Amino acid sequence: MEVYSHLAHLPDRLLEVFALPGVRIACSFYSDDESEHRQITGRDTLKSTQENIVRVLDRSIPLRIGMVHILEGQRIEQAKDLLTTMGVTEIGVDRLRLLGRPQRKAPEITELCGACGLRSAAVLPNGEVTPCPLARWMAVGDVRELGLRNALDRMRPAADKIAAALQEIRMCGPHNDGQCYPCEPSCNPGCDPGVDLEEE
Amino acid sequence: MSVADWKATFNQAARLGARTISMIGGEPTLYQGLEDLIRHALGLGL
Repeated sequence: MEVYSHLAHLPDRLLEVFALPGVRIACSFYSDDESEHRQITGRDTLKSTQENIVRVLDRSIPLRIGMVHILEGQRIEQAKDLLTTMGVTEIGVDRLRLLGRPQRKAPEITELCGACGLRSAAVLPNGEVTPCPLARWMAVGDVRELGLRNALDRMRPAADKIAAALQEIRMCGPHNDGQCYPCEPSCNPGCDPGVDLEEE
Repeated sequence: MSVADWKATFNQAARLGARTISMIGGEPTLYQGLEDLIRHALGLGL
């Protein structure tokens, strides 16, 4: 079980539950600078998040940090240094995906990472099943009515569609082998060589 | 989804062979049922 939190608030009681064997924490993090953190999150919580990261590490709870690159010149490297000094060993960086809240136009399948729905699925707070929490427009129905197995069967075409759309983009680059780092003008729109996809 | 609905969904996921569950977005620590759901998932080996 993984809990993805900003760790701005962590009551002792919840920390005890997080310390149970089998729980891991993922924590969003943006900057080592209080004002930049506030600018991105709208909250004055950098200090409390840092304190709670230390509390989680002190309890030897598995922790990974998810950084999201949102602002130009964002202090990503400095933040990684800070986290490393604090004892964090697993830090991932992703770009902002123009889906969900940040979305300002119709959702595009190529904003997804491409692995959605293949060995994963999301159930939204309204019960809708989708290939990914960021692919809400691809919901296939309510898990309470369909049951999870039927919902997953219904989701299969959407997952295949996402995989096919992203496969084409990942196979870009001068030799059509996906080896396009650093990014070349020949790359297709949506090419995203910095994103690591989990391999089987 | 009620806490009972989530538990029922977790049960189905475990039966279908799911290996792990992630609670993500909005902010799970603000959700009253979080502790209950974590314990339930751990009980299922998720």
